Amino acid sequence: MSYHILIVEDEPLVAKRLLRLIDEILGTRLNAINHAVSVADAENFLSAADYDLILLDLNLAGEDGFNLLKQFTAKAAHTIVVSAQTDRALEAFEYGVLDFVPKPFTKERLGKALTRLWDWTNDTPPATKHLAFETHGGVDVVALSDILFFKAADKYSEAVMESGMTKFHGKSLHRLEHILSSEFVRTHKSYLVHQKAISNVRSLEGSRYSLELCNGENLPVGRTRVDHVRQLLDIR
Amino acid sequence: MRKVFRIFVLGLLGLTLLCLPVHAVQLINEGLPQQFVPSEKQPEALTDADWQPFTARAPADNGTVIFKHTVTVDLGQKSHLQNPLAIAVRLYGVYDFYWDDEFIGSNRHLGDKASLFSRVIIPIRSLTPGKHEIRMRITALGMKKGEGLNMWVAPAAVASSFFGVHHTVISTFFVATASFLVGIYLFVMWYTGQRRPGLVAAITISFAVFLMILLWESKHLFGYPYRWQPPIELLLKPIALLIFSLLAWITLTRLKYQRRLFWMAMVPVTIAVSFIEIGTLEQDLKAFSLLLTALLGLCAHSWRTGRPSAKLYFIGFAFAFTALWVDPFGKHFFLIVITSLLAVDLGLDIRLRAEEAQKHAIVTERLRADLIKRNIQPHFLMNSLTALMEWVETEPSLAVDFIDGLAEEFRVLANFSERDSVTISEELALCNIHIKLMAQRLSANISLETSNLDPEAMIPPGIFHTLIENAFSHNNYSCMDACFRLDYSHGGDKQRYCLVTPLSRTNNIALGTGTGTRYVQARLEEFCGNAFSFRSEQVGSVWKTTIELG
Repeated sequence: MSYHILIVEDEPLVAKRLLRLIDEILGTRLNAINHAVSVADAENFLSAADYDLILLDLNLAGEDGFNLLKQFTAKAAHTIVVSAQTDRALEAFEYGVLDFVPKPFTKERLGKALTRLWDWTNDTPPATKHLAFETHGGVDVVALSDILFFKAADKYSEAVMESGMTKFHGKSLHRLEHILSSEFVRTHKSYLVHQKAISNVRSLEGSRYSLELCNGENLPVGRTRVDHVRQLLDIR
Repeated sequence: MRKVFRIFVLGLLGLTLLCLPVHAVQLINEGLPQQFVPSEKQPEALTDADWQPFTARAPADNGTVIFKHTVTVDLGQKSHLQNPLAIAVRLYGVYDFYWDDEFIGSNRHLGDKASLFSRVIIPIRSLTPGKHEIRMRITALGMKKGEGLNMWVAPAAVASSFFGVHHTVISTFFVATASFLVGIYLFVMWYTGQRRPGLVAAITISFAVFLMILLWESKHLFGYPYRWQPPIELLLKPIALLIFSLLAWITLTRLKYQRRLFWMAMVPVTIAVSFIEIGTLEQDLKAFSLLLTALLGLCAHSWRTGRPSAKLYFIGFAFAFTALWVDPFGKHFFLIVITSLLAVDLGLDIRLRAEEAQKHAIVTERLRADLIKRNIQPHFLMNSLTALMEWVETEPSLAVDFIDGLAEEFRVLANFSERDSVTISEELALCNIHIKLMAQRLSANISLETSNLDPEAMIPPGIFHTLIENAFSHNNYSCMDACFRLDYSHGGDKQRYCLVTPLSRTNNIALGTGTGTRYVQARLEEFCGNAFSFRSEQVGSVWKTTIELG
């Protein structure tokens, strides 16, 4: 797979370094790379093409870094923060960023962050606690504990809340699974369910399975995943 | 206001000096009182009709009276005492004492020392069991009608010339010492730089109280010529007036009244009212009572409106009023309450101001640290280091130039952090170093233009550097041509600096609200107190910061 990357960075030297190092690290895995110097510039790029990864500087000429973070983590693409604001790295992870690369950065450190795009094996469990959803007026931040499950919706995901409300998220189920904590379990190719929402697993006719949720809803369970779900229920 | 206070104090002193010579002339012209002439006549020659009963009160001002008084000395079963007895005398005047018609003592001579407390030894041979008669001839010089004439018989060792005296001596000594120490304490505060409003007046009051007590009560402690008494009493009047006036002045100062001279009208008004006869009340008692009533009213009003120190002064004056009426003659309690009130108030005030000074020192240190810290803030430093990494790997010579510039900026900042002010030329040099560094990092063409600046004018360190740094933080000048402008103008006694910085975008700017701006304002406040104005705003396509000093 080759990646389409957007750098959002207002410092020309830092952007130049990112461009050079990403090219060296990804080689043939790099499909295309663009550089935006402002949020407006980045929005233009994102509306014009699909990106796999955004490398985001949290301090864009006085913009509030965490407003930017909420705004960009709601997008379809993964986000890696490249910033000098290391004191807020933990907070950044809570919003579901793939990695936080502190400035100044070496080629090795940037390489490690980029590797997370395709290799999750060495990852520590994600620390995501909130998820930002794009709305018409801006961004809506929801605590993960308020979400019962995600349902695949084409390239996007639909989150079903405890309250019964639904929200669309820009990321695919695959990318969400990447950044969400282990509290969310993939029960089906189209569903990612919060463990606390699962009441029971029922066997149906024809080797089919159904997941009973605490809100009374039933979801299908993939045959290859049913054992894993039952194990989780047993442990609980 | 200090000038007005000085004029007021000098006026009072002038009045005092004016009064003294006038009275001195009167004394010389009138001569000294001569009523008392030591008797050559032996008591045997006096008939019983010559002697009056002992009244324990002076029957007239400065009058000569002959008393007879019989006391019984009970010597118990002892036929003879081992130690002599003494008659302890509280009498401000001239006297002869006779014990069973035997002349045993006198202070005798007019013009000799007068002391309120003295003793007359009764010879041990005369102390036989039974009744004895004391006869006295007294000229109550310096005493007013109705003043007490006390005497008692006690063992001579106890009735010594000092320790055998009355408890009022101890009280006098205590009050005078307390007033003196309070005065010294406040003076040391003033001398060590605690120039607080009302402090000089409080020092003057404390020493005036000390002096008044010393003059008024010294007859308890020391003998002095009788002729000193009238001028001493005259001197007491302006001192009392000084205390009276300063008490009102301090209260108005401490309660932060603006129209103090207007309110000082209460002083002549209360004095004038005190001339009205009310029974046998002394004038000074009436005057002080009226003044305290007026001050209590002011304090109550100030307390209600939340003025500082009002509560303390209200309570203090309430105590003082009570103390005045507990001891209307000596006024010792009253004076000690007043001096204590002043000491407590000024002590509290000075402690408060010391805490403020400490906070100010901490703020100053924080400002100094801020100056350095802002240049090692993550955004500036880490982006600079990232740029350096890139140059090291791609264009090392640019890295060397940048490190050189960075080192120079840190050196200047370290130097600035130790100073309260710098010259404009030093500040501009720092600004240019920063602009050069940022221009290299942002691949931009950035300059600083100035006009009408006095290179030697003093300003707080790092203020324009901070504002320029702020502009870099809130704008993206990457690959741009940008020009900063710093202009100087002056009108009247105001100096005006105007810094114009370009904007890379014209919406959602928050340039004037950050820590940089707070730093600049704090530095300006430290530099010139409140004598500055700071305005920072967007004007069209630029950001304009105007600083006025003076």
